[in-house]
Amino acid sequence: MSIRYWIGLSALPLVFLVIGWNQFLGFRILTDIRLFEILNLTATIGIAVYFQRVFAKQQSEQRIEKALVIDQIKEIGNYVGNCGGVVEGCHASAAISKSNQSKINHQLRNAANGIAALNSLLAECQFADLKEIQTYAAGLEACFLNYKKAVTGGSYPDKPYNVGATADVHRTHGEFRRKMHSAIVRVNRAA
Amino acid sequence: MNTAQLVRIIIAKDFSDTPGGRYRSDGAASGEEFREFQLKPKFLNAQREGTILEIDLDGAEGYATSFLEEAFGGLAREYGAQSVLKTLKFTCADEPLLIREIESYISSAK
Repeated sequence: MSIRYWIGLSALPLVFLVIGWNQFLGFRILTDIRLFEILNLTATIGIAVYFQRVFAKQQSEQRIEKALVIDQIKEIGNYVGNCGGVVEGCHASAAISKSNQSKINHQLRNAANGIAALNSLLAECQFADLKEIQTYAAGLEACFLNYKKAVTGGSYPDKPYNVGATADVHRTHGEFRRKMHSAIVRVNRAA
Repeated sequence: MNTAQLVRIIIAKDFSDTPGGRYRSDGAASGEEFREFQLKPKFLNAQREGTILEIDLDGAEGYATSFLEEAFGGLAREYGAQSVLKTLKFTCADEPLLIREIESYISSAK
């Protein structure tokens, strides 16, 4: 049953109490109808219902936008994570095969395109603090480019990842992940 | 109105659809090879004639940072970032973010 039903039900004892109070303590309920007060009451209820509907609609739209943005950020994170898995494999086998090179390129391209899609999506959203969220997205892009440099910079793809290069990949991946989490939390709190 | 003529390099068609790493010693289709045999001659020609050199990045499998930095950052180290940014124009529908990435390598080339 809806919340309105329960509110109505719990208001009933209050109505009985007021009527009882009037009956037994000598107060009287005015029974004459005052047109101005009825109009006033109707307008007040109308405005309350209108604003409740407007805010509910806004909230619902914002919830959808937030979910879309968060899903997009998570998708980028998945591509970066997949790329990390391939890099681990390359490090373990002490070689970057053509097939792994291709996988790394594809995951990085998907992540880069995910960032481009995130920027377009944010341009469509109507958050009050959009500028701040866009700053987080720019930070995410910078972290991604640092990660890409760590994965495909240096002497990639001709020399395998040594211990130093792998540590660099881990470090930049960690920075990316932290930025991603901050961006998700910020979007979730967006007004 | 800009009446400069446009000259174009389509990397996937004119060079390789699987660009490689940094140096020629590292293997096939390196950034150094691309810069020396494709980019630099056309860049100098475009500069001489006051035209724009368009670099089309579409159709390739993907670009490693090592390739991009050596090709475009290397050109900027030799001829200056401003001159390279003024002469080159990039297009990439496959991965639009690449353009900002390359421009950052050109701007930070030392």
